[in-house]
Amino acid sequence: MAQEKTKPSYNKDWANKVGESEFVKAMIKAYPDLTADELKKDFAKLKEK
Amino acid sequence: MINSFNCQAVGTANTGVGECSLEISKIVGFFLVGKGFVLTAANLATNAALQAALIAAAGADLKANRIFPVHDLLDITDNTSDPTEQTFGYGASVIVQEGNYNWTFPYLTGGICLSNALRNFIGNNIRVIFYDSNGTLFGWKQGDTMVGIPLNQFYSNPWRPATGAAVMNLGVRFNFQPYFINEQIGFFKTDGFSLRSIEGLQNVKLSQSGVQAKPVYKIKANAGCSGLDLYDDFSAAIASAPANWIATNAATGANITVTSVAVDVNIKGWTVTLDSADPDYPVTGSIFLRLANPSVLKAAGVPGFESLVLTIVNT
Repeated sequence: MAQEKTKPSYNKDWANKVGESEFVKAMIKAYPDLTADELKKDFAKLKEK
Repeated sequence: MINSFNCQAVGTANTGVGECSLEISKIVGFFLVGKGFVLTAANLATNAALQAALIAAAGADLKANRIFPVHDLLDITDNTSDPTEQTFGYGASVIVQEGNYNWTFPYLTGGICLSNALRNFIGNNIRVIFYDSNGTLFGWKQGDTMVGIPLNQFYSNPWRPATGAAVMNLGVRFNFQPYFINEQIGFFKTDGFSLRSIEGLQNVKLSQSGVQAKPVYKIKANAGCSGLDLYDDFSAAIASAPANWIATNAATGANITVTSVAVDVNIKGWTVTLDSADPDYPVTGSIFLRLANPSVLKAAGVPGFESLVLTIVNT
């Protein structure tokens, strides 16, 4: 069975200070199982909240 | 007024007794408390208020406000000194001074781990509130509040090995003046909750595990003397928010932003990510990492723990 993908808890205050590219660059290093597209979606969700 | 003796009248305290009396039963537990710890009149108003106050104090973020519960005392060795007595030449004898209480309690629960924890209090200005097998909490009455009994000495004995006839010997000793629990005794008879249920915090030791690639750190957490792996019960709760983690620059003490946290099933721990663009983040140097304060952890669903600090060295 495939390993479930990582589901990070993000620091919303920090995410609101940085741009999408910086967010993706930092998080893709931490969670290599997540794709850039998935991280962009996470970033967009954080901005919506 | 000249030649005034200001004598106290006889009979300032009557000796009739009602239907209830205070009798302290077997002492089965105690709470070590700081000099400033007070159970207020509001705390002592009801059983529920007292229970809430003790639970809050046992998990207080600030050690100065925290109480340290110890339960399951097994016996008492009462080495209280006899009063010092003077006998005159004509035969009369008088008490010169009272002896101090000197109680030693053996225990087994907690073993050497608890013994070592208690030995950290030796020499500290620590006080105590006891409780007995009937649920009577007693300490020093100050107005309508209760505070800890000041001690001449608190001591946790070094453990002694088991023999063919007896298990290992662990004991804790209290020496204090009689005044505090005679004329000045303050007590509360609990009902509806057990003082035994007030649990102390356990230390959590963090460690690095697996590949570290700054500013991404792989961390495990083990609690208590047994090294209980917190991952088994609290993996999701600890990963529920970056605020459950605190990172500081070891040199300056300044906080470093924790940008994310996630469960790492491979190490049975967590991935904790710091903001390398944070001006307080040391590219080379040391970082102090710990879990958040006990109250934050409790709110996150991880009650009863306090994190020790892990030093991470960035090279």
